[in-house]
Amino acid sequence: MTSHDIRILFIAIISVCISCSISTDLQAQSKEPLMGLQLSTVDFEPPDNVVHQAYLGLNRKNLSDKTFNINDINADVVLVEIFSMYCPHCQKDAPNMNAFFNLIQKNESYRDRIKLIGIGVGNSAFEVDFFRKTYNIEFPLFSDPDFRIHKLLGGVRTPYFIGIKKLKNGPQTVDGSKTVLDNSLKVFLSESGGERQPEAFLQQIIKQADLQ
Amino acid sequence: MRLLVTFLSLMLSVIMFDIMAIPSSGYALSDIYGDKIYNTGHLKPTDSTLKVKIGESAPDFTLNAISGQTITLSQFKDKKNVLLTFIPAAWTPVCSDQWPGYNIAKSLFDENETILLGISTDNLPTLFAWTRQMGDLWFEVLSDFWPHGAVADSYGILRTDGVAERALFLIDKKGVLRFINVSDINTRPDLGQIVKAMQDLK
Repeated sequence: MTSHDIRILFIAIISVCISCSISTDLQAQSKEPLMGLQLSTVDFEPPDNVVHQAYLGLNRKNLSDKTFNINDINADVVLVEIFSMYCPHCQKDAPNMNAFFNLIQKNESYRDRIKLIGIGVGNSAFEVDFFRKTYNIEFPLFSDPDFRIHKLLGGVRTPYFIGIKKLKNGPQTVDGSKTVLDNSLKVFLSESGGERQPEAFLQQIIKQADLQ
Repeated sequence: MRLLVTFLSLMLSVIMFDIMAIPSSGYALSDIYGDKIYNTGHLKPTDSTLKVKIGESAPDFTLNAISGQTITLSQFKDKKNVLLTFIPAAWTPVCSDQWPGYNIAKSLFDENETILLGISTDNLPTLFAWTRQMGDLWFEVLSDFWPHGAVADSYGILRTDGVAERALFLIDKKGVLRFINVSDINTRPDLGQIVKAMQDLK
């Protein structure tokens, strides 16, 4: 075998490895979309609503730069609902999510520690706003009109919930092979929805995030 | 050596296939459908030629609805505007992610004096079973199954595989076409543009 042949063989082996890596990654995305940490790479535009700005605890820089991410939200835990105004389960579950939000807001121990946001995947700003008005939703909702965030999360079904906890060891950004993730965040919940009972859901969050 | 080159080419093809196969969803499927949805994959965006234009009279039709009613377009003349929403097929991803949104938007149609009619080339039993997954729809759902796709064809939106395009036609009280939207079949039209089109009729 000549050195030229060895070079070709080496390239072939590397090709197989890359191919297997991509295939495995795609299968992992479709079977277990535990990709909540990817949300730390997403930049959101601050809401216009000053009540929502205060709720999220956005600072002046966030507002002047017109951008923030999950890490900028002033809370120990950020719970993200992936929804769509076109999703019958999300529609049916909207009153429960309102009750869940109000339950947190009335609880002095947790209202500053748990923050809730929604992301309308494949929904335009108009559609998100219409969903908000239809169900009188008080927590901040964001639009993902081109499915950018939805793709990042492996195309999860709606509704889908991702619970992210901020760890106390401070931000330590690591540069991974595919994207930059923040290991000061931990995903403690990543599951599809259905109708949820507010009290039980709150207790689940407290327990799984180890907030007691 | 030839074997190696062949092997290498094959692997590069596999890599390219992997990259091309990365999901490019134009929908977010609701958990409510379970595993009942047939994945069509990415389809040719449009596959027909329109036969109508804005400003022309809308072709009249009579179709049966899953409610048991028989609906004729011209019955709404001088009374209401009509929005026709054609969807390609029941039990497919994007279609299942469209009408449930209209189902919470009745107030928007009422405010604009517009009747909404959903139309598909599926047969009535299929449409009945599929829409039951969405809850109780407030608008009529019509079957253009037989003669197959005749209404879709009269508007010029019958694709070569026998399904309709994902298309919207807004018809004013005089029976004149005032807004036409034939979407890429792989994506859902924005509700905002529908509302704007209805508001523009005033």
